[in-house]
Amino acid sequence: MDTAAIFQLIEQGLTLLPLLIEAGVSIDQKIEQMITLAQAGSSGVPISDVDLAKIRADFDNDLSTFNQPIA
Amino acid sequence: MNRLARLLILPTLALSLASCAQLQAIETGISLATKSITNPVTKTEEAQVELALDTAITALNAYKSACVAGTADKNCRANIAQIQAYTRNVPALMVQLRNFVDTNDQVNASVVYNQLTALYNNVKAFASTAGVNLGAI
Repeated sequence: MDTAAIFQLIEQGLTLLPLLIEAGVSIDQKIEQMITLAQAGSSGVPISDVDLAKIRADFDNDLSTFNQPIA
Repeated sequence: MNRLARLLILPTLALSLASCAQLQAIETGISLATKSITNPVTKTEEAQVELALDTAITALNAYKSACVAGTADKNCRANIAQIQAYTRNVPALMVQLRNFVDTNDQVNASVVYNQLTALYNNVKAFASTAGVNLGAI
């Protein structure tokens, strides 16, 4: 497990959060997911299937929304 | 622009002025390393990729909303259409990646992971050709 990469991701993800806040996007869930990944990285325990399924579902939903033709 | 400067500047941007900055932040906010068979894709790493891409897509959705509302840049519709040309290829690749990770097929997982990385790099390249200042990567 590449713990350094996980923390790098979290650090980089944080740079996007202010913009999301400015845009009025709720980021609570994203932060929780980043914390989950951070905990998995620091503990050495792989992410749970439940957490992975949630991340997958959120990504699918957001990507589907973006891929819709613009109105 | 160094990271500290970016962190200090980003919160001050209003959405109407941030559309290009959003693309820049999306572009600079995620770095996906190339994978090899000796550096396999694990569930945690897959979660990294998914969360990283999802954060970017969330920002793109905000950009798209601003575009619909008329508060983004004048080229936003064309920009979004161009980015969608790439992002519409993501779901099929993600299905493959998830399947390979679930079945611990690390060779094929690495191949798809690298395809996703290449796809993301194409999005970054488009942002550059669209005149967005991408800064140092």
